[in-house]
Amino acid sequence: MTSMVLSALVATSFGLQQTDLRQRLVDRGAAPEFAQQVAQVVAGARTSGLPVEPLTDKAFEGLAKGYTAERILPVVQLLADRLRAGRTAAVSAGLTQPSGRIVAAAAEALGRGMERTEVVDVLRAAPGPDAASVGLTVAASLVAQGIASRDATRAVATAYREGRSAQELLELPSVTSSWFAEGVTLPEVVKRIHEGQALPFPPGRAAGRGVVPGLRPGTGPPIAPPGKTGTKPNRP
Amino acid sequence: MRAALLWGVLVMGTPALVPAQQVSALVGGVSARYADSISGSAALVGGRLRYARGGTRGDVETSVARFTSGEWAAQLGAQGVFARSVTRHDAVGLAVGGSFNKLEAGIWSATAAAGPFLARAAGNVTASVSLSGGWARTVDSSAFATGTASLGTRYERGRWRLESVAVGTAADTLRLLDWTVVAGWRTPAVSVAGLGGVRSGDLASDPWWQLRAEVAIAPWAALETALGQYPRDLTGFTSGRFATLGMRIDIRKGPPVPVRGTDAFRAERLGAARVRVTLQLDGARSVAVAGEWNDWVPTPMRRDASGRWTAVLGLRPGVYRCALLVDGARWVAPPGALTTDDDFGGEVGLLIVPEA
Repeated sequence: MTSMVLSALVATSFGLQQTDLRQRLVDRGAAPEFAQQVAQVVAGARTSGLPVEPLTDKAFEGLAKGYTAERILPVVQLLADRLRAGRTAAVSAGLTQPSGRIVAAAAEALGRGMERTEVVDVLRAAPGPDAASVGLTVAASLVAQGIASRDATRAVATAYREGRSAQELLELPSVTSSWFAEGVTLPEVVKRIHEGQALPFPPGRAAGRGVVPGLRPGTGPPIAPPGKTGTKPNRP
Repeated sequence: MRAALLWGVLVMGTPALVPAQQVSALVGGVSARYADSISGSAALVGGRLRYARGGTRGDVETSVARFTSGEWAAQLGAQGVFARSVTRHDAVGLAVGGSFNKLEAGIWSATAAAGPFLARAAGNVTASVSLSGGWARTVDSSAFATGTASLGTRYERGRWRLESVAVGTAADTLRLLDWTVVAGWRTPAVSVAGLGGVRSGDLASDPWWQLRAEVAIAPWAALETALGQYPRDLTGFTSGRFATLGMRIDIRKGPPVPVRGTDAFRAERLGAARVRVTLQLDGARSVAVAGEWNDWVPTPMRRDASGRWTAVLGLRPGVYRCALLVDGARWVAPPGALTTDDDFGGEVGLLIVPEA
């Protein structure tokens, strides 16, 4: 009896959610038929236990950017397929009930060209669920910059195994991006990543150095002219 | 002369022997005028090695100069830092440094020091405190122990940085306190810094100032110039003025200092769930930011006095896909942001909201 009541409640809630999504899409300018199609994709994903936020987000993004329904719907469907693959990868990594964020991040990583085994490597190296989704996002971002997926995977997995935090890892794409902006070649960027140059210790990196542009007491003048020294030492 | 030659070999040959990541050579000239009106000009050849890996960083800089009067002088300076993060915001470590100055007449001076430091970063501000103990040898051949305590603060915002460093020094019978303030501005191609300093206690001198600039003229070369004043120092040099101009040539280029975000696009935490997003977008009449946090409903951005566009968003730490709506018609990824495909043939930016 209890399970029947629960089922009824879930079904009612589910129906309300569907109606709500359709209405929100229509309110944003979508045709009712398109809204219905998106809602069906979302319903299928929800039934499969997949996170639906990435799907609705993709639909809203497409609408906001002015794409047609014919363009948006295949993208949403493709993303649903990726989410399924992402969840499979997460389960392969030993996560029996992966969170929606992890599944979404895994789907993103797969969508950027990472292999399932690479996604699994990152998930296994991450110290926790939040770190896992950040690691996948970072790896996908590196791949989007042109770095081979195996190199991106190795960089993220190694960083986690060395005890780096997710917050530190978020620095990685910024650093590689700045290298590319400076004209550093891809092989050199990969080499630097593997040497650990992309993740120096984060806080206080400048403060301890005391690097001040100029002279400090005891360092002498920029150049000592001959005959200058030894004649009037400033010793007391 | 033979010693000068040996030093030259050291200057130019060391890069091949040391596992430095960044190696550069400097060719230029220097002119200095001292408090007692003795002046000298010299042609200068130098080398610099830099190494950075994990929490270990080091610089070695050396030069040999031949004066217009025929004599030569050589200088060597080195510093290294071995640091380790102890929390997300704190680091501790050991800093070492030293210098060596030698003149043709066999006169030389040197300093060496090492000590621990503690640094804490909070937002754009980094504060540090350090102690050091060392040794100095003066040009008149006396030597004594030295000790310093310093307190530094550094503030960075966009292309600007502001530093304040107070250093108390005890050396033999000398007691002095130096306070320097540095303001710097840099782009990928240009770096400008100005320094002002005052001293109280022994070896008192007038306040001093220095200006330094580097301009990249090619991916492998930059012009460097500096001028200003310097104070008396522990090893026997009086105060004076100097001007240098040279070209630095990268022989091997290493990694830049990593930055969080970019100058063009950054997110600052204002509270547990509030973030100020700032970006530079020239030529736009209106800018709105949209993303996965609110069904891609554009939030208008406001242009501040410096010309940057800002908006305050209700976001918790994380990574968010986002894009800009420019002039109400054009969607673009935020300039300078990390980007990824939007699956529609375009790009979206990744907005990284750091933890507190």
